[in-house]
Amino acid sequence: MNKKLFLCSLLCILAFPMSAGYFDLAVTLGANVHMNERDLDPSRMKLAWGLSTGLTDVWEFTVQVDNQLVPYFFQDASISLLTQRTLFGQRSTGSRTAGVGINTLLGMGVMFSEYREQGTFGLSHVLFSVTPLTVGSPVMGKRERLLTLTLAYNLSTGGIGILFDLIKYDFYLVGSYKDYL
Amino acid sequence: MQDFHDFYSRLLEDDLLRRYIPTLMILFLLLSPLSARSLGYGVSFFGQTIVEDVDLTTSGVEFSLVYKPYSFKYFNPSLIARTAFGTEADGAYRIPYVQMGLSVDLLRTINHKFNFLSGNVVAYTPALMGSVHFDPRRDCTLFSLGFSPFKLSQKDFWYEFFSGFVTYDLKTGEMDTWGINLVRYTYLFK
Repeated sequence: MNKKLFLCSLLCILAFPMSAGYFDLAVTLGANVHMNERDLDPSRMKLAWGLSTGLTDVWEFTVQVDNQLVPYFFQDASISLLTQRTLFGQRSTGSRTAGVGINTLLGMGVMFSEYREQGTFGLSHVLFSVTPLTVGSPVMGKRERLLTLTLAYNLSTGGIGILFDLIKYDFYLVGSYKDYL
Repeated sequence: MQDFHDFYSRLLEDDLLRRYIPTLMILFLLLSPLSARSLGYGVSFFGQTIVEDVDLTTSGVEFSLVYKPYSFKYFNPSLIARTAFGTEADGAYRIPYVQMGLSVDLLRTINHKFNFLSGNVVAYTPALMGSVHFDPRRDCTLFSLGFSPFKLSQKDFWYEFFSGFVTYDLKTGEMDTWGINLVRYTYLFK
């Protein structure tokens, strides 16, 4: 219940322009694998979904939920909060001029999950993430994030997990070219 | 290589496969316009688990070869061969399955809600697939039934999302395996 409440609260905060200046809001869909912590998370494939919002022209904030698909369909979930920065220019200009269409993201954040020694849901990992290739931009309305690699430091066990997202799609509901016509 | 050798040996030993599948394939090829844009290959991210043995759960990359001789609006057939390569729960690399079968696009329409996924207009072509599924690890042959509810097609590409398959042991009638392909990209060339 606490997990659902936390997630709903976070999604509500992101879904409304409570802080002025954000450029865009996207729904994210993709794939995720959690490696190197098999004793805590035996999953082999996860569905990644969430929201991504632009904080400035180069910074963005992402909430990502990873649900286990295989071997136990939707048995557990983890929630990652990431702040990311583009390395090769503006992700969005906030105008009808598109930002840089090909970019790299570097970010850090935290993950809430049950992958702790206690086995209860809570703050579990500190994340350091790199997405070597993004194609598209908010103004274009779509973006693909490819080969995201995240090092996850487990605060409970002291171990290092690896999160790998083969591909994620961002579909922009706010901040696409349609808003600047 | 041993896995493939075992697979072929198994195929030859199986009376049903020996009698019918080569004949059907030859007929299919003879009836096909070979000059059409019809051959292709695909790459997919898969996960699959065996109901009775979760330790054999595997995820990784799946490769496929496609032969699509026709472009019917309804029930368009394709011959597809697939093999997967991935890691099990203990981290060991394995070939969890080899599949060969017939996929049928149930319909093709451009009037759908998924055009926002692509820069160009794409056709929505949900597909069903029936195939022979061989598991080299357990040396068993099963029947696989697959469904690709979110398959989008262009002239040169197929994009598939959230495809699934289940396999059945035809002797016992029980489900043996299920799996998901989160994304699959297929490129068609001549």
